[in-house]
Amino acid sequence: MNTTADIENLLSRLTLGDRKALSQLYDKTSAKLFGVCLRVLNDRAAAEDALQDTFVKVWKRADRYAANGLSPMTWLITIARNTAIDSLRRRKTAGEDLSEADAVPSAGPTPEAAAIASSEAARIGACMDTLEPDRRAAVRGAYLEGQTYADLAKVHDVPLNTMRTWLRRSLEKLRECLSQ
Amino acid sequence: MSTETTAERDGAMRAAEYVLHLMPSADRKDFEATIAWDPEVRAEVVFWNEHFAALADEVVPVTPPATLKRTIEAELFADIGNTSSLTSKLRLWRTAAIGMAAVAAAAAFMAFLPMFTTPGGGPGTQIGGGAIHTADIAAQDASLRVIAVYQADTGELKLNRTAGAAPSQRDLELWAIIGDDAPVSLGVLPAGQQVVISVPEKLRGDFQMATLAISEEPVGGSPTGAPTGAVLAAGALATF
Repeated sequence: MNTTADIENLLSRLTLGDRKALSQLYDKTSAKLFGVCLRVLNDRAAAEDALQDTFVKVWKRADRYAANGLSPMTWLITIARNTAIDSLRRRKTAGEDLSEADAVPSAGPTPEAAAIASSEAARIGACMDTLEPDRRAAVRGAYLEGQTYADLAKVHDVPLNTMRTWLRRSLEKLRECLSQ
Repeated sequence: MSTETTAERDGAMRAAEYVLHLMPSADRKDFEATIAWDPEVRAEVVFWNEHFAALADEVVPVTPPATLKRTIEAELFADIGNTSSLTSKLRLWRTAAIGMAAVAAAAAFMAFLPMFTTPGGGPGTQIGGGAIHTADIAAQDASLRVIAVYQADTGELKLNRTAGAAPSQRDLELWAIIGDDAPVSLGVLPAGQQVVISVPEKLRGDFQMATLAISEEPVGGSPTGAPTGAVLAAGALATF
């Protein structure tokens, strides 16, 4: 089982330069993170590159994990997803500089926020269900596929400003539901 | 929520847009500065990250290709050889055949060649009292792959080619690189999928530490005794 404590333990060993811990972390998490990268990039070769970059970042930034207030799997998924989205946007707008998106900013400890958030994480599903189907699909498209407002407007065939309004209202509704 | 100011609500929405990557990249940078100094915004970012990460529960795990882990380790740990750095090293050796200055430079470089063991590697295997060592001699794009199994007590190197073939009008040649020594040819790979090579007696002492590489060469093998063509694949023997 990949318990939170297992992964946390491996992350703390990474900060000590423990290569075996990286190997174990890879064995435990690479399939999930590869799935996340594939979902965003929809291209195996690009997803492999993104996964490689993800683990390189995890190794180099493991010391920042403790300070960012996220649960360990969320931290890993966030890095994988940011790396994949960064790559996606670079590929889409070849030439335009969008290279900064990979950083998960170091944020100072907010352990209570993480504890609350992770214990309630499962509620996102129930709260998503309160949204209308097309708006729910838009939020999911943004998170899981890294779609932009413009992508989403195109997919759902609505004007860009309508999509902004959809997302904003949906996020407000979600936040209210999640905060109850 | 009802007591919340417009500014707070706006901060929360921007945190959500940030987490979803819906901000233009310039705004994203500005917002990261805000995250750095504003603990409330930071908490909002954590809030959204945690909740949205749960959406990833539905993402089906997909096992990445077996070579990727080693590629990552090779990128991170400079003392583990990878194909590209090995290629440059072998290119150095090619040059070395021409000039002594290059030989010196290459020798210095080769001092960093791998003593590779796979962290958390496979199951321990002992057959007939001799240790088994294996190498995954693979191209980075998986276009050529040979699994090598070396049995120390018999000096037998079994090769199983699972992908790839020699380019037209060329042969594939197998090389062993041990410590600081120049690559030693183990011969041209026969066309068959599986072959067994007897490792020369004089190489057997340290052969378990060898890195094996495959280059493409003129038909019949390198005319110089050193690699002359592109190095297509490489992998270090690891003791399991």
